[in-house]
Amino acid sequence: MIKVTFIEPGGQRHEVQTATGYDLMTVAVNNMIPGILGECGGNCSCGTCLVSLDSTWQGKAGNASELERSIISGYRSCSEDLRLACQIALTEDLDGLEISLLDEFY
Amino acid sequence: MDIKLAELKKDPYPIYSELRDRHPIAWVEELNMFYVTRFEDVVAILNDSEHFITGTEKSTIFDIFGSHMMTTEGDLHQRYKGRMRPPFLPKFVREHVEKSIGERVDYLLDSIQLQDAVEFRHGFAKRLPILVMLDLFGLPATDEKLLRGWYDNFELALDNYVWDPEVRASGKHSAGEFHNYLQRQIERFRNVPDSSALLSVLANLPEDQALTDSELRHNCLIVLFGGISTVEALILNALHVMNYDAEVNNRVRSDFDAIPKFLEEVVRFCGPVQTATRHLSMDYSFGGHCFRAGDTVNCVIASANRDVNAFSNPDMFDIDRSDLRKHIGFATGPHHCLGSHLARAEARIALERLFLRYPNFTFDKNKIYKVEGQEFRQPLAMHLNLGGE
Repeated sequence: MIKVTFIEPGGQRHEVQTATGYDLMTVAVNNMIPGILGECGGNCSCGTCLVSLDSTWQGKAGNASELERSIISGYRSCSEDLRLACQIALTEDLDGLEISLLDEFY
Repeated sequence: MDIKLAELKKDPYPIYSELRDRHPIAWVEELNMFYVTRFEDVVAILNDSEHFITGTEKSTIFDIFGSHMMTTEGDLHQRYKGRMRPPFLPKFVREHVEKSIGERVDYLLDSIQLQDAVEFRHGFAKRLPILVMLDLFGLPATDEKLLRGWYDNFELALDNYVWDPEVRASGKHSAGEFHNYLQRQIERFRNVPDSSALLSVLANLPEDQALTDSELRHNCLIVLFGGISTVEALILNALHVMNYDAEVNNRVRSDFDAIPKFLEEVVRFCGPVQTATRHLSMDYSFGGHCFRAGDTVNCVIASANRDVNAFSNPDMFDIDRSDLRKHIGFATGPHHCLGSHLARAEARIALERLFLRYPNFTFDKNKIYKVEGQEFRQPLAMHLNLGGE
């Protein structure tokens, strides 16, 4: 099990314990985290699981693909911190991950 | 297993249960298509837009409405849906649309106030979604009857799996009339832009983002008309559950915070949209079945939402269930319902204001109504005594 913390724009924190092997969007939706919709079910298609990672975690979470970046650009200018949660596979390396939620959707 | 359309329309859930257990991919002769009923299979197909596509010549929605976000895949689908998505996200709906929904709800509740007993489907639920869509797009509310007439023809044409030529011609004629109507509205907004009207915003996008007028009309058509029967059915199905479950009835009337959870469970338990149709783009083996290119597959999302392998006690209506948001009542994958948050908002505001305005309303026990439908499923009438018994 690893720990993931989702932080709302207002600072409220949601700590979740999860097994590895899932993607971050699925974990967020299953735990009713506000601000992550995941409407397309993880197809890298809708962009409604857009989140921000600080520099500590960007390398460990991997890089956004070209498709992912094109979806993100529909909402905000692409930058290194922005990722789609559905494209982040949770591994042991991400134990302690902190995710900033955006106010794009809620 | 011989599946009869009439039985599906009357009560599909026992049939779904047997199909999930014994024939998870089953041929339905009367509909000329396969039914897929297990949660895992339905999710897999709706997520696979390489093998299971939406727009082919066998698709009634393509035949009547042509190329738009619901009949395209990949980059073209993204181009269409991406342009339309922002105003349908929860934040935009809450900040910019809910106020006008509330005004329309109040207007319709006003219009039935002099009647002690009311048939709520025709007096309210059928009308609200059209008025909301007209407001959202910036179209005149006086065009309500015009849109209703076109929509009724579309509904028949989309359900025309036997390809009746008269029904098909009528659907195409209405689509042509709608295109002419919408083009006039687009030109009106080019002459006098209105930033509060979705059609005006879309018609005046910067050149590098703009859709052609034809693309705009085709996509507006599917969005405008996609949010009509679905919302009507969500409101009526919610009332139907309240009518038959006294505990739920009491709880949602006394605790408005429970209404959003209640509506999620309505979508799972007795969803307005029962199925999502796909077509094979090539020969393909799936779930032990060899599909041929061109085969039609109906993903039965209403069955998937009752699958015991996906939900605990799936045949129990439970607004406190831990897997409340797992349902796929608004579909999943790239073609997830664009208007799901708008539909939720309309149904929630409708119920809240109905409960506030008529706190003692009861269901008329003397008037029995049918719940029917194989593709869209809802009560055909809903008789209320507004002042109570």
